[in-house]
Amino acid sequence: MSEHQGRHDDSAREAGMNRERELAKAFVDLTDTYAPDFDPLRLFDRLVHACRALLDVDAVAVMIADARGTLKTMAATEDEAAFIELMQMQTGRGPCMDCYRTGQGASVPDIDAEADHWPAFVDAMADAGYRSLHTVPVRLHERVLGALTLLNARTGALPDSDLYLAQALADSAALGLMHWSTEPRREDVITRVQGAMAAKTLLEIAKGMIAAHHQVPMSTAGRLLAHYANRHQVRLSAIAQALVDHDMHPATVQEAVPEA
Amino acid sequence: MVSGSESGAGDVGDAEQETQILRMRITRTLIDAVRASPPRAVPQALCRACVSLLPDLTGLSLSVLGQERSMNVVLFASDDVAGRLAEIQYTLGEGPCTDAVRLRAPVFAPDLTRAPDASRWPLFCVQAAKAGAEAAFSVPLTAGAKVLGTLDLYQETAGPLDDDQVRVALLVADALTLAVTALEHGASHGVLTWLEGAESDRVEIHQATGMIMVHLDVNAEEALLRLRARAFAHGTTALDVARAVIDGNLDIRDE
Repeated sequence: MSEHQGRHDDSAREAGMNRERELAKAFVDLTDTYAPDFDPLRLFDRLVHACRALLDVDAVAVMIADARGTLKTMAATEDEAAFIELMQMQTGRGPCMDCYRTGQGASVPDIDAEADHWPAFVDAMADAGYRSLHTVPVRLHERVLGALTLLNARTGALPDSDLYLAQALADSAALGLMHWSTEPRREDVITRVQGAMAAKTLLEIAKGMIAAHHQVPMSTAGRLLAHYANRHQVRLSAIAQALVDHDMHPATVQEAVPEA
Repeated sequence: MVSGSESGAGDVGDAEQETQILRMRITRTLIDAVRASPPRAVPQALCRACVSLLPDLTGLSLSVLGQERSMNVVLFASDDVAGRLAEIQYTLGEGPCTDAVRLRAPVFAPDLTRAPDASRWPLFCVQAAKAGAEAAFSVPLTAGAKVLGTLDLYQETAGPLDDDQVRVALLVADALTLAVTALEHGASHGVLTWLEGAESDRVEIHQATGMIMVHLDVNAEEALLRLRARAFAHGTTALDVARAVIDGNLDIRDE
């Protein structure tokens, strides 16, 4: 991730330029979904990484509603077990579900204040090392598709400007998912969202294959796959499909494990 | 919370639990239907149970995919129209169920009499109208990576499914996926056992499926089957087995 420079004039100006470039790139990346090789997994991955790069936050995850009634984590900037568990426990209730149900974002500047409300969740936040969170709805016009969670290790609220930007990024991703269809039908949204979930399922199976073949933890397997996809400019879902169909051998994905 | 949405929101039920309860209710309905019928009548019993779970639909059918389109089989249909709609799609190679298989996602056509549905599948829509259907909804039966078949619903008059109907249709398809898997692999445990092994769709189960694929050099379907068989044999859940595989505490090769 890019390091912002100190506040000297030149470097400040440069940082400003960099941020503008990063912002522009983030929106282009999220909206450039006309390509025939569109990959919903990469879209959500770009969303969480753009949020972490551009906002004053330590970790980001995006959960999308399954038509069966629960929330599913589609992408996250972190891959350690405690973080995965923190998201997993929110599939049925918690800040993300509240955000999804109400369509309203919320700020929890100090998670300890929620101990009575969500005792288990507060413990899981502590286990994962976070003390504050913000939620932002992922919206497609009037419809709410899910929620973005922004987490920080410190307490405190995010500035409004960060929340506006997070909302803009989330909305862009939702539009990107629907290929900028101006009035997508509810039926088509269901198809697209459930299709993205099927792609995620395939990715998880592929991760398991890599983890078993290379005898590495699941998080490393995920990074190996993402790294391979980036390096070879192929869709992550296409690689997952090839692995699961036995059209590609797990040994192929064996480049040096990138740093966390 | 600053935005104040939490007061009251905490009183709303746990969506995961609600979904799980609905899933169990659906599974129970299918189990009861299967239990009361001789083996050869199982598909028809499942069909009647599905109709009872989706009472507002005009009809439905369950199809299992063959190696190629001409080998697709309609396992059951609640009426002639439902069966006819499936056959039309296999013949023409277009329609919601064809797309649902390709996209591995539900494809819903609430109004076959007009665009966009009518322009998407021009041949199918004409034939569907003749058969007596104005809306068709297809849900794939997805086992891990593979689409085993589709659950197809239809309405004689145009109109969308509501959120509850969508939810039930998807959960019925989940349960039918287990039943179809059991019918295909038949003998050893039977449909009943597989239905009773219904678990929610969890990341750990997918990941463990991938690990077992490598350990046993099998495809995803077989790996998932082995995972469930292990859970059954040891009286535990598929999720517990999956976690043990991921944590390295269980090697299916040792079976």
